[in-house]
Amino acid sequence: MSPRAAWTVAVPYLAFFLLPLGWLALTSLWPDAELARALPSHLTLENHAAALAGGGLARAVVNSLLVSGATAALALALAAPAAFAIARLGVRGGRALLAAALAVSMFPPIATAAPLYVALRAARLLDTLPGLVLPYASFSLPLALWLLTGTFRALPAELYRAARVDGCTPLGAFRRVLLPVAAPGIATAGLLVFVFAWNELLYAVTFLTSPARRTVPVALALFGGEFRDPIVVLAAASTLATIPVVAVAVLFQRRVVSGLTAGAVKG
Amino acid sequence: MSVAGARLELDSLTKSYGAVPALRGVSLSVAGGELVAVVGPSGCGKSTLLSLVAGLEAPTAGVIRIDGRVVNELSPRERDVAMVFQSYALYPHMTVRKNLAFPLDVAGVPRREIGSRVEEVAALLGLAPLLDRRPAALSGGERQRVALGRALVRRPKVFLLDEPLSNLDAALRLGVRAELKKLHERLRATFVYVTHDQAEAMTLADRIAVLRDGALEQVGTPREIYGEPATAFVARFVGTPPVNLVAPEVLGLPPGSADAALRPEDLRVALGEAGTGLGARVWLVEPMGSETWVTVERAGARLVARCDAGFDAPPGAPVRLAFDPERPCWFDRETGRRRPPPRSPG
Repeated sequence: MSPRAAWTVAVPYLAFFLLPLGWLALTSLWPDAELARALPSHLTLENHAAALAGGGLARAVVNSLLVSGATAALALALAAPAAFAIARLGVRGGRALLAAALAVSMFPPIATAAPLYVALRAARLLDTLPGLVLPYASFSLPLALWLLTGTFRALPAELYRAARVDGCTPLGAFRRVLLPVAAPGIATAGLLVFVFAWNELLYAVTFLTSPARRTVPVALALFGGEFRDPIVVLAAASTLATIPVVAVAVLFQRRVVSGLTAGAVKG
Repeated sequence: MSVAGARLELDSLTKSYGAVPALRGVSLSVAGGELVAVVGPSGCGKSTLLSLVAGLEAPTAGVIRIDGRVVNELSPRERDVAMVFQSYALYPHMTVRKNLAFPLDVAGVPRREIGSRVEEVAALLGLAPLLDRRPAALSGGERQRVALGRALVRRPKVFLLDEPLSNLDAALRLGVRAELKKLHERLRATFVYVTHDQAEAMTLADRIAVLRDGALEQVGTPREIYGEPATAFVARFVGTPPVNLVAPEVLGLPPGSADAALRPEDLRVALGEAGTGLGARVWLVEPMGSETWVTVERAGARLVARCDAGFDAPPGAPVRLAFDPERPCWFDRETGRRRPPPRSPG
């Protein structure tokens, strides 16, 4: 494909994804008094300052970072050894396990919200951040398991065999050889789980009651109730809340891209 | 650096995957310090054999002994065998130094000793300038040496090599093959060398074990395997160009229930229609530089002969064939087993 042809495909494609975000960012910079005009006379950071006022949003971002980070860590810690066992150790019923995981992930979250509420109340985890991490991790486990099983299957079988002959136990071979070599795939799975947890609203709004424990989606959803005419401020809050997850994505980008393509080629 | 080669004994080793047999009662004894090549076409079970000895898979039946000790139930780490893989299986996230140190590190060898042993192996294999590189930055030949070094550094009782040269290009392969032979002469360690390349086996091995469909066809020195093949399969498997295995009539001998196998160097080809010998016609002439391979047609069969470098004739040219009647080996047409030569009439 020539560079020109590539651009004619890429520009509309990128525009489709980036224009809404760009519009959001522009709105956040729009002076509140000029909302009725076609274009603003100048840009301002006042809305961002207003969004950050009171510390609620910053608090929510910290909460979301904690919840999403812990969810990704927990999901990977559970999924990686399981995926390794399914992919390399010839565990009986491995395929059935994968199918079951997929089936479980088909449950609509709304159907589980009520029973989970009861369960969390019984465990005294309602309105706590760990009370969100547990259901998030269990819901993202199938995704992580599928991605990582593919990752481990794509690694050369001889790597595992070499580590075993070199004296590793199966777990040692996993820890010292397969895990580091699978890092791109693990980063990919971790990032997807992180983003899932970052964006989750239903459980968060159901299980959290204290304003101090709100995550970003809850904070944004409840923004309107607390401010007068908050469209530009809400846009500023949304923009600010997007920055951490974009930063995480950029941080992992190189590994994620190589992880996605490695899986695609060897698949 | 030297390694005490251990004795390796396989006794009626059998391995099945479900109903599919991969190895069928293989018994093989490898003396300490010996290099035994296991050869056979792909799918004959030779890689399975190595996996069983390494402890990566468990045999369905049979016994594996190393220095007299039964190791069937031992994990790979307890068996003290090292393996060089076809793909080299270097750890891509580690430098050459870390790759070489890995087996010692896992075994808990003190750091200072690891350092000196890695240096020693690096010097032996010429890897010293590459120690801080990663495998991705190495050429095929260099990776192969690192894989070898990672096996050597442990000073194991038995070395297992799974097609270690098959990923090298042809020019490099001959050089590394020679290096391997010198290395084995120097170390006198026990090597089990799996290959599908009969030339590799012939040049490297003290003894060759020919495997076919999971069973041993013959075990012998390269000379025995080449000169006294036990079966038609073995006769056909070794030698380039391959042996001429034909019905006796093709060689002008009385018909019978056995086929005759005549090595290409035992068949003489003379140009011209006149003279003694069997009449035939040239089918193909392949100059190899130092010699010329001549394929001739006779009685509906094709025979290859190794002739002088100067031999030249157009396809269809008439020739006379001659050979020493003592030379052909005879194989039963039904069983493929070796038979004594039929008594010549008169």
